Amino acid sequence: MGQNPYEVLQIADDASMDEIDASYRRLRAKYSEDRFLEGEEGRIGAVNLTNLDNAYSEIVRIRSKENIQYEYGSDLGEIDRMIKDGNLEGAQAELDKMSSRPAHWHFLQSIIFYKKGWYDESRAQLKLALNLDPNNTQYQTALSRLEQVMANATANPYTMGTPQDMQGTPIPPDNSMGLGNCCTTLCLLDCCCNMLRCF
Amino acid sequence: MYGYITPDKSNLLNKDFLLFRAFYCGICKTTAKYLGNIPRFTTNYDITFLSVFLHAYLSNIPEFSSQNCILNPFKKKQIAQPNSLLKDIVYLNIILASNNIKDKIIDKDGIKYNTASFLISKHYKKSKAALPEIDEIIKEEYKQLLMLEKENSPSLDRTSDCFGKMLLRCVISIIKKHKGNYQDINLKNLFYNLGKYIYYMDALDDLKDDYKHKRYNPFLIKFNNYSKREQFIKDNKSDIEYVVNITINQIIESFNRLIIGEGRDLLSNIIYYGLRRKFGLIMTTNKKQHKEKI
Repeated sequence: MGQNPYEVLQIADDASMDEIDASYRRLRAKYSEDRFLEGEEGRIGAVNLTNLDNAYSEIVRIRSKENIQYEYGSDLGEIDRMIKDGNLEGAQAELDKMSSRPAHWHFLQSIIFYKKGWYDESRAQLKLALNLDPNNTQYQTALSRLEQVMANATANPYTMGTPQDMQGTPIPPDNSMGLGNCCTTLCLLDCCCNMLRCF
Repeated sequence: MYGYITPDKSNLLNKDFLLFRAFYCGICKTTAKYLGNIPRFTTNYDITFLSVFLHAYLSNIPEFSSQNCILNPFKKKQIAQPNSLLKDIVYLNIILASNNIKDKIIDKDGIKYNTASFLISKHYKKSKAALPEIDEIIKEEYKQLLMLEKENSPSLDRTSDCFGKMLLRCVISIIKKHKGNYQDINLKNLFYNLGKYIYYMDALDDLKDDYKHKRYNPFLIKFNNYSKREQFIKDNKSDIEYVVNITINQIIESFNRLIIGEGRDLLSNIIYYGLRRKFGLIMTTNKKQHKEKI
């Protein structure tokens, strides 16, 4: 194939997402009917329909990637992957290179500090992220876990970090955090990290 | 080291108290055996904890025998007998003590520290020759710490990181030498955070003196609102508690994930109760905590 997806959708490269959607819907309706025509016309209609669907998902993919780059100044997914692989130094170097420092930059920095065992700096970065984006529930949850769960002075020392801590009777997620299970928080931070990939 | 890692006596079983004492006396007696009587004053609770931990971790149970002591000649006590591990721990202790004293001389220049340094200089040389790698580690990390102090670093993590790494690297070096598993992630996390804990406790304990003599203290730089110790602690309570409690919790969690048989009861008393207790005392009283006797 290798066709330009914008040409397939019969729109300009800088068309808005609404225009793309409208064109997609119009063409899809047309090709859907075309494929029931007899002979060669029907075959072309079916091929067009497949091409159209592929082109549309390709554009959506490109657009969402551009969005991240537009919003964060670089491909933060790469840094996320490095953190996940345990390459903290590499991730730190990438973060240092970036000139703009939006909320998510501070969030990633917070995760790196956390993994290094620098809990005070980690919290400070999380607070910076929240200052820039006060309504972000991801950051809010991470900060409250850090302060109320991980630094809980009255957590039962006998079960902390042990498998019993994660099993036990099923209780609502918020209460189970009260057991002082740092591991859960780490998982949570990891999840937040993973969520970046879904953008 | 300093004396911030102690058992919580109100939760301590008698058998564990006797075990702790046996190791404490064991360190003291081993010091006497290999280095002479003078450096025996360096024996402290932190190194006793380390000694119990390393023997337990390496499944190296020392022999105990009933002996008396110069300080209490008429009462016989169970005392851990010297072995190659205990010997290395004693050397480590002397190297730590000597470097700690040197660090104090740099900013306190008291006659007390100069005397102490002079007293153990000979024993320090011997210990250094026995464990050259450890001396390197400690010098390196102190150098890094001094640099951060000079630039008045306001970061609690950056400064305590040196201490965490110092303790961790020393412990790893000893475990490696005695053919134990030195790559366990929980072991690493435990001692890194324990080093940080000691650093925080020492800094909090010294708040008043450091302010008076205009010495570096990360908490003073970070919060920068000192007038009286009680008030300072009150004003910054939640921030101080956050950073120390999270460190203690990390120690507890890592300890829980380690497989340790013999000696676990004593160690868990110290880690579960002793650390939190000591921190509580430092936050609520103005008395220096590192001299407390158990």
